[in-house]
Amino acid sequence: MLSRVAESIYWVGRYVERAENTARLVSLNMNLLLDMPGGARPSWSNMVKITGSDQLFNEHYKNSDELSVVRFMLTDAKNPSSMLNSLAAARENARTIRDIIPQGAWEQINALHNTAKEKAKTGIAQKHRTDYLSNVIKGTQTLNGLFSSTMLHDSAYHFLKMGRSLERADMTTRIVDELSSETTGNDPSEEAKNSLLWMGLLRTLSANQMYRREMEVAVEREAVLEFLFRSNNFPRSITYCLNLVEECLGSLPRFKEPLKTTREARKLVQTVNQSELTQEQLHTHIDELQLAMVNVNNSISNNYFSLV
Amino acid sequence: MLPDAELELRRELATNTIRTMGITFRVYSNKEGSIDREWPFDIIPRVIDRSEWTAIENGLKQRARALNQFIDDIYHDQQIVKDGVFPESILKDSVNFRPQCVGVSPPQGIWAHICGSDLVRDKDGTMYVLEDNLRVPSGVSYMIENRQVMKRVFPELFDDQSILPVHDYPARLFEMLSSISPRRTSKPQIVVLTPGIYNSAYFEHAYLAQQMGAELVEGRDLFVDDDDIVYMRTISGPSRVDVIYRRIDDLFLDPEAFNKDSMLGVPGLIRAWKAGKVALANAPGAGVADDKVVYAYVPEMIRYYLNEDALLPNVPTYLCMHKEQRDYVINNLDKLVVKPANESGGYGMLIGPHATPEERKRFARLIKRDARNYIAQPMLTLSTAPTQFGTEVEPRHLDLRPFILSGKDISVTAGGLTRVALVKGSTVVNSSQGGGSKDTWIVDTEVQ
Repeated sequence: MLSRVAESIYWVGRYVERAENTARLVSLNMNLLLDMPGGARPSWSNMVKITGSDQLFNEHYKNSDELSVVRFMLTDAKNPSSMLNSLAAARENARTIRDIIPQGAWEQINALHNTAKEKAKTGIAQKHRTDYLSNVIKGTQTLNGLFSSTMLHDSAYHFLKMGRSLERADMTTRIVDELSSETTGNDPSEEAKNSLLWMGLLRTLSANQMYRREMEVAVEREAVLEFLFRSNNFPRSITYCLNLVEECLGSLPRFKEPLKTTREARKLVQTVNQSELTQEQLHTHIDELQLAMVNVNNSISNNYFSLV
Repeated sequence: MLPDAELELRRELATNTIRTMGITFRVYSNKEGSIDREWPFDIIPRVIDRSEWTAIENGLKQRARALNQFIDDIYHDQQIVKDGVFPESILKDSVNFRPQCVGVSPPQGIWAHICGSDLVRDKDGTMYVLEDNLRVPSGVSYMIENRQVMKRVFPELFDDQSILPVHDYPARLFEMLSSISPRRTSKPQIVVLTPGIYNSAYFEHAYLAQQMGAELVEGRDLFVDDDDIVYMRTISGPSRVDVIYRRIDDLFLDPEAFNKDSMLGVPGLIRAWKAGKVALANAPGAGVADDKVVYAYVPEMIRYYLNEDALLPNVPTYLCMHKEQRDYVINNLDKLVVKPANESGGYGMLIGPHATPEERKRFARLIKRDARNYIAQPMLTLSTAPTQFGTEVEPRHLDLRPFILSGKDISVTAGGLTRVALVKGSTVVNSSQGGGSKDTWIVDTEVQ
């Protein structure tokens, strides 16, 4: 398999996942806000922070009101990580490797991007937004289904899955980092609000139902952290994603270096008991973890994509 | 007959299908740079009877055989020049003659493995060959995609007609390419070499690679080692390449042999090809026969090499290099079409009857200055076919580009790509200049 092709399919995986996660994030925030009592609502600017683009946002927007943030996150051409730009980047990467992508999947990427772009103006308005976003999420899920059921499960597929898993794990850490900072420890007077936040966090990751099945407890900080960091069974937990990267590497040639960095990242998750960390410690831990995942990304890139 | 509303509905279905399938082509414009446009498609098919097609097919095979023998001769003994059938002066000034290729013997003596010949029908019904494209002819993927679209838009028509299928082209191309592999191996490594996604035919490069299950590579994916073997850079390290279906012009193929500034090519590629370590399709230098002056000699070539009469006629062609013919051309510019000998895509032409006196004067000057590189042909009354515009159907001019594959055997596509000039009265069918296309049906009426 060509190095250049491996790189493109890896980024298709990353960008599609990024688009989906952005849609989830905006969708969650909206639902969450509607549930929260007025004064306790987390601000929209939090979302911008999650994606690490607050500086860019501040350059272009005066206020972090709902519509500005939503536009910036979803459809703004100036934001390279906006949902629409992520879909466009996925499509551009896919375009260069149409020979290895099943026709149906290419058509789906194409349709997904076209529809999201066409409906962008009306789609970000509050009354249409839920529909708009759930269509994008369904679209990316359809695409993942097409990849999984019609593409050869060869090296290309492993690169796709690695891109997707790393992006997913990264987003999980970001969402946990930001939303957990909104909670106020275990203050009983804030219990209702905290519980709503943890619930919202799970819902963003489509994790609420599976959380209950696996953890068999009410929604509370310790168990949520345990579940999202360490579950071996939930496909959006960080451990699960890193396991998947490891598994993919195992089927690729010359995996020594990237496997080493992936194991380091996984060890970091497993040697720390996240549920016992204070908010401050959790934040530091997540920083370290994100750095470890950047290392994984870089070693995959150096090992397989850089042209000799 | 379909009612207007139904016709409109089908057209919409075709447009949506083209969008979903992502069938695009790239155009360059000064204003917007390079942009992707949806493929312009007319839903009314062009129909040719199979019995007529069989005769055309035979004519095309004959032509491809003669052209390949000609190219091989030109790069070896030049017997045709020695025998006084083909003037040496044409060769000397040919911009597509590559001295680097002299003495090279590609497998089976085939140079132009893929040929796209343009056919036009005149008012009397005769099918003429307008030109042969032997360098990197494009359009075949659109032929296949047009059929895909038609099958989605008019499925019922395919039930009760015997329309020859076109989908087997990639398989035949793959077979042909496998047959020229220099390494005797059951699974030769075949790649399609593209200039990249900004090339106007990139869609097609990707499409063909995908359909053949070949690797789609760019110049930077390949390198030639000291052993003269071509390798591609893969995730497992270097991997040997046997056959390159190249969609890059000669001059950009190899900065060592040709244009040294080329970023698209692969240094050492010509060295590897000459050493017989890799096959290139089409072979470098094949374009020597893709010259509108050389074109005028094809009927003679057929007689010379095959001892046969040409089955398909050429359009009568005036060579401006000959004084009497040049004088005739200059005095009759208002009746003739003038073409540069080595342009493609319909650029640099003069359509005399539609041109202004100033344009004609300009061409008279161009011809006098560079007579070797201009030819002229009478203005044919190109045939038209019904073409849909909203709820109206109007006649528009068209041509046809079939593709001829030459390897161990020769095969021709069933039909080809029909291009149609969408502007009323225009005869320019190139998609880069406002042309559209139609599905081409070779229909077997005898099996009905």
